[in-house]
Amino acid sequence: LTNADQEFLKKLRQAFAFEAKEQIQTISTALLDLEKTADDAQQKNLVETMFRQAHNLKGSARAVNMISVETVCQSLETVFSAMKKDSLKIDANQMDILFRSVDVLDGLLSAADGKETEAADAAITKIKRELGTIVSDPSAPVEAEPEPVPAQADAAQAPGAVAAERAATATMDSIKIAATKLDTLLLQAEEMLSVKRATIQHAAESKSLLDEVELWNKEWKKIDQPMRVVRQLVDKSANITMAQATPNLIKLLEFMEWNHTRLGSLVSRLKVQAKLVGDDMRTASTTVDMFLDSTKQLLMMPCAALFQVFPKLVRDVSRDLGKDVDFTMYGVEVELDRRILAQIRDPLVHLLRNSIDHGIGSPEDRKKAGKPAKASLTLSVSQADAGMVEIVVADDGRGIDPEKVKASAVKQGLITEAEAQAMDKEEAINLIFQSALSTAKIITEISGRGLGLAIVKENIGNLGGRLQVETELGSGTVFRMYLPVTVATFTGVLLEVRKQVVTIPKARLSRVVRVPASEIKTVENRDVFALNDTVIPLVRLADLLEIPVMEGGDQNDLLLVAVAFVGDTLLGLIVDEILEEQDVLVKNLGKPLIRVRNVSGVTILRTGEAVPVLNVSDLGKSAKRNVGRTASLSATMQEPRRKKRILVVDDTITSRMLMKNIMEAAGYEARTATDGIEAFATLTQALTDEPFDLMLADVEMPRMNGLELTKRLRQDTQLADLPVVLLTSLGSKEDREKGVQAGANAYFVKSSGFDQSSLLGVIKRLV
Amino acid sequence: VPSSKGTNGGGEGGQEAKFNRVLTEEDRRRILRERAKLLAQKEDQRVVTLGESLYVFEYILAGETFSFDTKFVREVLSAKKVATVPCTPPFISGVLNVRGEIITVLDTKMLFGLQSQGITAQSKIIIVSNGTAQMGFLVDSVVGIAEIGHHELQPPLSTIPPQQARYIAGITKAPMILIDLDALMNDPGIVVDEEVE
Repeated sequence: LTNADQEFLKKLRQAFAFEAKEQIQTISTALLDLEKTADDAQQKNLVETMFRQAHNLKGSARAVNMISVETVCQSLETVFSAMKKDSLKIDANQMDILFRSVDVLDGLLSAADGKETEAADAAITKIKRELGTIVSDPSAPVEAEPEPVPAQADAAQAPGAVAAERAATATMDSIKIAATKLDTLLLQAEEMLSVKRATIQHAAESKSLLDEVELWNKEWKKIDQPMRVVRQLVDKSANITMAQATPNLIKLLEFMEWNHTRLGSLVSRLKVQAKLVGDDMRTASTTVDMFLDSTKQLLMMPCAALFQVFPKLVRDVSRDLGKDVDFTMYGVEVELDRRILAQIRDPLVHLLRNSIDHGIGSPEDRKKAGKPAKASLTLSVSQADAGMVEIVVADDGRGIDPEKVKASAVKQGLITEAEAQAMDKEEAINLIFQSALSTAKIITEISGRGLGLAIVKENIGNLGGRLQVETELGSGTVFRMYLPVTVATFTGVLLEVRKQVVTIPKARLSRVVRVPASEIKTVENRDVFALNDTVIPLVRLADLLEIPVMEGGDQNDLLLVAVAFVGDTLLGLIVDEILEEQDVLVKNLGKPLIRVRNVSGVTILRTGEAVPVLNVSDLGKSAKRNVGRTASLSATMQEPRRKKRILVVDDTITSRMLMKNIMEAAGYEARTATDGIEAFATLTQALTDEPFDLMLADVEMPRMNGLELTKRLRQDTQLADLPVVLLTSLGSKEDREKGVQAGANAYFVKSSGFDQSSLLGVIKRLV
Repeated sequence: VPSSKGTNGGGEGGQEAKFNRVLTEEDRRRILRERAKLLAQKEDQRVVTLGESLYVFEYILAGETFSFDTKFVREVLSAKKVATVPCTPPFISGVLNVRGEIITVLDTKMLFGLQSQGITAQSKIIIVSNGTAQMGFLVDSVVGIAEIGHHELQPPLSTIPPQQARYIAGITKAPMILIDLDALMNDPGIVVDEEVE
């Protein structure tokens, strides 16, 4: 074969595999339906469908030279043909053979590029022989009717049929598109978000530029009066020296006037510009949002696309475990983002298996409990709130015994006897989601639900959903899964550690605190600190991320600590800086990075830069391994340098104390004064021994207010350079301008959303 | 067939060159003409002719000339925006956002046992694709396209350690090292797949 021919054959096989998977699925579904229905006409239809699919598959397999598939289909076709013509009835064993042959076909297709191994050969020979027995064996129990079906099965069939019909009409104006093409489209659509973010930033930038130039213009207006006086002076002056100066002064005046005119026109042009950029921003935002929304719609798929494998899975598992289960699915036409669908497949398989394995008892047990031998297991999908769907897995089995769960948790040392006593039923049941419990052998004996349920819950959580369980001892268990319809953007907090910028999901951060080195204690060779009576382990994030220490070492006196949720516990991560919060899209790492320790993905900032997103669960594990590594932290902590001194000036005792506390918590030495006059005196006195490094003053104060105080300082020879931060409840532009004019270095508004960290950031910069 | 370097500029590797800008108009015409000729030939002849020469994309790593088949090259980008990823081996330079796609950048010097300074102001990233995966290669500078005859290729020196030799398709007299990019990209040894226990 030439290269081109091989290439062609490869493509052909891909197309074949795609088609064949569908045909096999159709046969599999028809077999399941056949098992359920007792209706003659319906049976005939199903057999006809299967016969046609097997026949077509045989033909295509021959065309692409897959002899193995062809032979199995040949045997299948013979069986279906006999069922069709001779009304051959199939018993349960023979049904199993038919299901197995579907599995064999599936396996042959999944095997890489159609290579036939010995194992596959053996499977083919076996299944061919078994299929042969169905047709040739005269002793086959022809009378064996399919198992009687409860009436509800028929009722359950009806909605399915309606959905199928609806799907059929939908296909008329539908087209098939390769999923990868949609992914590319989505990538590009998501990229448009950075355009949107950029325009928002540009609009804000234009606005602030305009503000600045307007302020300049306003200041200029104020010298109109002095200018007039100078002009009059020039005009009227008869003085000789003045006369010599006049031409120059006139020139100067003209230049000043010209400048003012230019500035005026600059202001009006900037106004237009700011308005235009603002309009663009609004248009871009709406368009991008709509575009992204439509693109996301393209990725929506009915649940049925993924769930169609479940009936067979349930059938196989129940057979293996000797359980008798009637499985029904509802609402599979509800649409979900295919990325979410792909992520919930495993969790759902896990829940279904668990229900059959541990929730549902054997037919004998069920009879003893006074229940029908055939258990009911349902999977239903429905729209919950806006943008959310609810997926429910419900069984009518034994339910979970809270007492047994408690007992095993106590045995595991997860909770104490006393805690177990105090727990109500709900709390006890929720213990099944604890990861520590999952590793326990004992739990599998009582329910087995512990195994992997923690992981299932975490996976659902990662998708922005939640998982709940309701159970009644003796009557069944219901798992409720709430999921977003589409993949959500999440908020990330940007951090810097040893020059490495990383993002941490905001939802995983409890708070950010400043911890003076003196408050770090060592417990069992680990650094800890206390936060509201909770002892929290403390590690350097940079150490967990294996980033080498830079020249000059790390900052050691006042630590910035991001407190993260790791499971149910807290972990203090020492970081160098908290940069900002951003709505980010998390993307997977690409080949050859399959999974990286402590990193869950990458996000793209509005500047287009990629930033790693941290995996907080991993960080928790890394921190445990890290014992002793940062233990040196508290030991080698340097003597803290002289603390910076800050004078807090405020007339109300509440805000005075509040500010003093904030400053002290941030590691500064804080003194207070009640008004401008007292403050000025304190500052002057301190000059001799311990001068202050910064003043933090309220604007509204009796006797001498903050603005007057600042002006006074600026005129003082010794205090003119003291950094001044003004605090006020007056948030208007004019007030801010007044503050700046008085000579303050920064101006903060004490609003309800008062941002401590940005105030501390400014102070840190000024001292 | 004598070896002939591409006539284009870009030898300094100074400018940020998209792949299609590295090829001059003449180069492109010549390649298309030759391809057309090849396609017009009968099948058996075609195989023989293809065996005779190869267009390769040349670049510099630590003063040495490396190259690989031009069919893999997508584009050449600046290395400025490569973001380092913590907890990865040294041969992973980081990741790069290319129009919304996250591409892993490899410092191949590490794989060839060469001294690496990491990313410098002059560094370039060659984005390559083998149809199934895309990666970026950190290089010191880009030379351009060259044509080499298969008979010019010699097997890698016996002194090259096997873990490096497996990526090398051959060496020319120049000397220029021809990389087997498929072997490199599919090497399980470069895959990072780690859990925290």
